[in-house]
Amino acid sequence: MMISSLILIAGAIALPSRYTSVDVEINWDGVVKETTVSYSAIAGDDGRFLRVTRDFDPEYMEIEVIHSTYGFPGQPRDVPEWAVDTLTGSEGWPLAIVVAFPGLRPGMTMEWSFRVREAGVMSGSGLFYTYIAGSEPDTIIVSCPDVDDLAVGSVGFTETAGRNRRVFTSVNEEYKELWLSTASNWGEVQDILLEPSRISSLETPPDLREAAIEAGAAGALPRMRVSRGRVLITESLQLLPFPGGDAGFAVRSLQEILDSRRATPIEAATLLSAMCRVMSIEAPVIPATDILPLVPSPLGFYRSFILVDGELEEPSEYLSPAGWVDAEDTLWLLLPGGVLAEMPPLMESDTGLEIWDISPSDGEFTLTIQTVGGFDRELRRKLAGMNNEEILLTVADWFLVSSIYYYPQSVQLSDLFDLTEDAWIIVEGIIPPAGEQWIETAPSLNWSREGIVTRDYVNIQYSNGVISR
Amino acid sequence: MLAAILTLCLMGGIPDAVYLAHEVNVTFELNGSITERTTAVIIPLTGRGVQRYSTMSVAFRTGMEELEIVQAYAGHWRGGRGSSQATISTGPHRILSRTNRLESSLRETVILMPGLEVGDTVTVDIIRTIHSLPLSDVYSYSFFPALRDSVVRSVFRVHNDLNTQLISSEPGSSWEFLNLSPVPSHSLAESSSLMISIATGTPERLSAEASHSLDRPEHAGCSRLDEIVRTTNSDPGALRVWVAENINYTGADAGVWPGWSPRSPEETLEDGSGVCRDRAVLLTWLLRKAGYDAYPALATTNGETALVVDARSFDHMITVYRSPLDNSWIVLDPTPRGIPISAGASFGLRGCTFLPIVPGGTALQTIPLNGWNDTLNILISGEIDLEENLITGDLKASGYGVPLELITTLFTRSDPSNRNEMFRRFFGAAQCDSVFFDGEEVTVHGKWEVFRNSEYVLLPGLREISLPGSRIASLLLPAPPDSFLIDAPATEILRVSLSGFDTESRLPVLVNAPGYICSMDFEYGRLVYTETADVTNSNDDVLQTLLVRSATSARAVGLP
Repeated sequence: MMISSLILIAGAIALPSRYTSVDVEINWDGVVKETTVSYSAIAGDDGRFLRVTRDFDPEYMEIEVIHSTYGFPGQPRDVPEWAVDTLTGSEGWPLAIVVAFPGLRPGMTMEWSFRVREAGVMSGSGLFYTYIAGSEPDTIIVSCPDVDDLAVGSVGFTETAGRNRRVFTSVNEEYKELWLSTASNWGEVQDILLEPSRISSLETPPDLREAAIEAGAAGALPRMRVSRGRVLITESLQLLPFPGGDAGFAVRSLQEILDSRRATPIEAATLLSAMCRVMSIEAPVIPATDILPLVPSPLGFYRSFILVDGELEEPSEYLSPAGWVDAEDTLWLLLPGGVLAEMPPLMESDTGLEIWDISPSDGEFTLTIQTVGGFDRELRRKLAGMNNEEILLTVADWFLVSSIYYYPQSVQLSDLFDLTEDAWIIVEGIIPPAGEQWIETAPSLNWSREGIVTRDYVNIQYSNGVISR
Repeated sequence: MLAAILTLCLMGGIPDAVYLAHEVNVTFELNGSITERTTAVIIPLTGRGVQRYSTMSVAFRTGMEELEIVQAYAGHWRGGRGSSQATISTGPHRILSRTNRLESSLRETVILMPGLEVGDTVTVDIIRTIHSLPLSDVYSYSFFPALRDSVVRSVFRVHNDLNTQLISSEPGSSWEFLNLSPVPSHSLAESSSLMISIATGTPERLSAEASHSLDRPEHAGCSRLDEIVRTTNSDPGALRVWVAENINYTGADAGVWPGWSPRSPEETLEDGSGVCRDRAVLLTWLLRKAGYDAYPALATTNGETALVVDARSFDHMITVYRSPLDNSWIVLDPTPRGIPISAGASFGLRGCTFLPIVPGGTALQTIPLNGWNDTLNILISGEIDLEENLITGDLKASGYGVPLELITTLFTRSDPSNRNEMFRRFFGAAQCDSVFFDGEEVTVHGKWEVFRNSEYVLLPGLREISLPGSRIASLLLPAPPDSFLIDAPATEILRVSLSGFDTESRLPVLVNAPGYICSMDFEYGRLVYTETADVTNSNDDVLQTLLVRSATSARAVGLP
């Protein structure tokens, strides 16, 4: 039995799966865009290609698998009919077509291709395409019709022209990026992205007016009123993640959004912008992305802000402090007038403070946590909306993942739904039995983001990460 | 009605929602189909209640069942809002994500209540029509009135004009039987039962009919079975591991009853792929070829079923065989990879129900929760460097049951390039240079940090070195005792032997607490300490054990 188990264990993962080529053929008639993507790959023993998927939105897309074979070299076989199905999509897409490769073995080669037909707002506004890849495929070939005013931005691609078509072939194994767009400037991109938002915000439904009146009572300064408006939105609407494709910039009527109690990022921004208009505050919607498009293109803008007095608010940000923007990477903002602006990362606004008051003789401790910026948001999202028992369990779990063997018994905290005040909590509890020979590693909580956390240890000796009497 | 709600609020705090009515009618139709009509009137009382009832999902299997939403709407209490019809959509079930198996028969109807607020009234009326049942015509239904948020009135009726024989899990006097005999009708005010189940046949009948449906004699003719049995020396554990490691987890709706009818062993071996049912049947025939009295078995992965069931009550298929020693059932689960040969099935299945599919039928069985001798043995032998504050040495860990399963899973499921880091974390090391595993014992060469000041050195103990036990410690005091769960129970034994200590060092006194012992002494010039903690279900004072296990005094050595 020992021998057989050793043999089985020896067969552990060693060979990674990888793409060998990706071939993209785009056709576009000004309204409908048809994209055929053909992949070839080699299977490893990591199971990565047991299933391959393609997300889509049935509202305006049709998708079909036009080819799928696999097998050892010289022995290709077709994927059985049952192994192709439509299942739930991911990352905001409603559905996904899934192809499984039953019995896939390391060393097998695979080929499959999807044809995607889009007849939506984006495909009717222009020809837009982007391919951003790591170093994995050996070759990437993209071909598209030679339409007028097609702008091209690329890194690691070379272009050849054929019969009314343009063909882009990867030449650089380190980095491959290709942008195709018929938009002539950023103003045109802005029109495509914000037209649905502009149309929806023309109306002023009674519920919106009521919310604006409530927000307007929050203070004299526009920032205070806008901040209160954001709280109203985040507390009363379910904020949806950015949905892919056309749904990413579609905006329903404001009444529909309010009635449904759900909003996408751009819908939440449109709602807050309209609320500001009722309060006589100018607050345009600002689309943003953290990937710099190489040519003017509406693809990749997945965040939506509003601009008030030169500062940004992100209405789809749940429980983040007022006036703070999560920007660990550079953001690219599409400002009014069709200007693409760069906003560098903002890290200096993130701080945390832990004050540990430990009494080994009494077997008790008190922890006070004060936070600003991203740490503030982390604390709020960790604990807001829970009952006392859930808060205690969450803090206990936080202690454990931080290797802190103390046992919280009670937690006091600030109003985590008041975004204008910095968040704080006070934790009291007991420490394990401490004899005369007491020495401990100094407790410090794990936080999920970079930044400055200051830790103070009170009533005990602290030296080089160790505490003692 | 308002008084009833207020009473509920005062008695037990505010529930998330209250069911003003909850009624299910099951009817056996003349054409052989079965209809289940569910009506519910619900008022969400908290934000969580609003969230729960804003989006309701009703699962069904296309091809076997049809679902009709007769009505679904929200009546708004706020003046001028009137009522809103629900938005209804049907599609693949959300659990069928891209990483799940292909299982296209499972669908869900999503009922979306627009603009729901606390205090609104949700009304739903749903008819499920079942045209055919998998494996057997035994039908069952379980009604869980008291598990709803809070119920004012709950009724369960079975219309049985065809005089279909019904059996019930709750035949006692707390149930009111009306003249549509046998028709249980239930009001919470009169019964303390949490659930009633009815079925048209016993589990024994289900077992027998399922055997007739899917245990095919012709499968014995598969020629490759003998070869596999030979390479594994007819060992049941090795056969289970062979199936788990050599058959990809990919499958589909092949068969007559999607989700229940497996493919033949030939097909599974030919494709090299299959889901649980395909694997279970393959392993059954491998065991039979090896001379065992083996059968496939329907199983649950989430605890026990009701006392009466049908095939739809189960969500997994495994293999069982009769022990040659005492004829008891031995369970083998060929689906999960990376569990030890000796385990048979993952510890996650403990406490779950299974039904062997046997000609002539057999009763429901339960995989025992206790008595598995779960033990983790850790031995560290090394040298301490008090200048660098590091212990350098070898850690050897072995065990039985859950700990061995965790170690085996970690080793076999991880990429070799990640193993050192994974085991470094698992055994609380500062550095891990190599990991070797022979199927029963893992050896880790690495370094462990010690912490010191001018007076004391703190040596690592179970709390730093045994991650499974420390996970349990996280569930200590804040959790009320009745919800205390041990997710990886084990008796932990740590023995550390170190050179490099001054024998004049002041050693801590023996700590002997309920379920916990730590002793330290010098043996032949080496500092040796042994820590034992009983973190199992059999320890009545496990909270105290874990608290003392987290203390450091037993491992703080005073410097001379």
